[in-house]
Amino acid sequence: MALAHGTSNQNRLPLVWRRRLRLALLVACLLAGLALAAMARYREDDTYRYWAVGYQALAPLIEPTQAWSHRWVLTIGKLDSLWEAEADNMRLRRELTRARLELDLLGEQLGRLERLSGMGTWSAPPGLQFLPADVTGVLTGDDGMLLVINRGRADGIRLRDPVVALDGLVGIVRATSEFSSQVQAITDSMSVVGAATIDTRARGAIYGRGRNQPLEFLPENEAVQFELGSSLISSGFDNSSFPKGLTIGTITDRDFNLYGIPVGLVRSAVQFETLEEVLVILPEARMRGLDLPSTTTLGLFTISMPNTFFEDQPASPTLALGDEGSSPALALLDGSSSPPLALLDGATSPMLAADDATTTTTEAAR
Amino acid sequence: MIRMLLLAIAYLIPALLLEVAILPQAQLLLPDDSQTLLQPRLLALGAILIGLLRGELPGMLMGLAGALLAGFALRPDRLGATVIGFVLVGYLAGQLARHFILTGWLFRAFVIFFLLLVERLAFNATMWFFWRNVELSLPWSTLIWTALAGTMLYRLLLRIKRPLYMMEAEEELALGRSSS
Repeated sequence: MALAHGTSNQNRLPLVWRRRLRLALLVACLLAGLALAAMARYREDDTYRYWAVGYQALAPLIEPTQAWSHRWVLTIGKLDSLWEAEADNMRLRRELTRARLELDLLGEQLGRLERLSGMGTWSAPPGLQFLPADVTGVLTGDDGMLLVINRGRADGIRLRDPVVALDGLVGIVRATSEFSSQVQAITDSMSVVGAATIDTRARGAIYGRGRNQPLEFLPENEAVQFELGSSLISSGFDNSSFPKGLTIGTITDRDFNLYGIPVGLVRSAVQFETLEEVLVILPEARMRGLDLPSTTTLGLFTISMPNTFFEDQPASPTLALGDEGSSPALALLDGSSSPPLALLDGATSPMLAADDATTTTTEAAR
Repeated sequence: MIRMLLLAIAYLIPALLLEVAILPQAQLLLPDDSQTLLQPRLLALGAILIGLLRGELPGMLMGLAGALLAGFALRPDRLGATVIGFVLVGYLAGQLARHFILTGWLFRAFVIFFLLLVERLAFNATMWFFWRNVELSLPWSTLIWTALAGTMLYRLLLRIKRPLYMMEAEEELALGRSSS
């Protein structure tokens, strides 16, 4: 077996000599190592000279490999940077998408806040209370429109409660459930609202004529002329479901009804297609637990609208209430025979001015 | 003998390039605290493996060759210490192979780790003896994974070369036959 490996036992050194040879070689190597270390320590110049010879022999092998591996390392480093950039890119895209979504939500909330702030500064007169509600649905037909709001009997809403928006009168509650209600819009063909023109105080009734149709103003006295462009407000008689002073719309044209009586065609002040928030007008006593109906007392109240609906109207004040010197808002009464109506004159903030006017005119009405 | 020489060359050149040229560049890709992982003692491992397989003399010669390659490729002041460390572990590996039968990967890994540790200690001791202001800390993680790699390499080499105890047994058997 050993012969098969080419070793001849006769030619081999004895075991003892082999051990001595190995030990001698070990000692020689260790001494050589010590000598090399001592030489590197104490004869540095000579060491570097001899070392350079050895390095020159290895350099053709080592240096190209170093350069090659360095290139690969740089390439891998660039790929790693690209990977990180891609990860950053994806993260930034996610953040951008999230930020856009938040921006949309914030814009939506801001719009809602602006609308609600307009309503919030529009305070109800003493004895009444505004209950904000969201329009959650619309039921339309040829005859008119029903709005679904997210307030119901649990919130104190009862049948025939009037509903307004920032622009004017919306309608009246026709059906209630525990947590929602249906509001009959004034454009509905079943709707009738007592109204009066602002400028001539001509009283009459406004009838709904169905969806996408103008309202119809039928004067109480056919002989009374009304002008195109006249603004109409709720007249607020004792038996009316609507308080006095709610903006209804503007007369845009003249026409004749089925009986040949001259009527005015009225454009509603409220854009029903874009309506999102409304206010339900409730008797304050109902919020204290008294289950009062709406019809008996609401006509006695006067509410001033917070919009600038009357700004272009030429008013001739006959009586001024309030402190003219200190308040920029001045409540004016127009027409001594008719119920008082609050007008704004020179108000920098119509909403706040409307608050002042509301209080003043309600006191005057009482 | 020629096969052994070819095997040594086939091991030494890639090990030299890996240890001196490639892995130091690859360290740039790792964070600072992990760079010692790419400082394996492959040339010392060669001396250990050959020593375990073929005994003291081949181990020492392999160690000497590896030490010269490493010393000339790196810095001149380390040449002597490297020669001492590599030759010493080559000799010790041969001695261990004569006294122990290396079976089981854990025992092999422990032996190789021990020899790598001895090499580092001898190297540090020599450097400290002559220069004093040297770093004496031991790269434990590097030694461990180099030992594990050496264990796998040893197992591969066993498929090519018979271990030392088997060769000695064959020699004893041949001697006994010739004497009878």
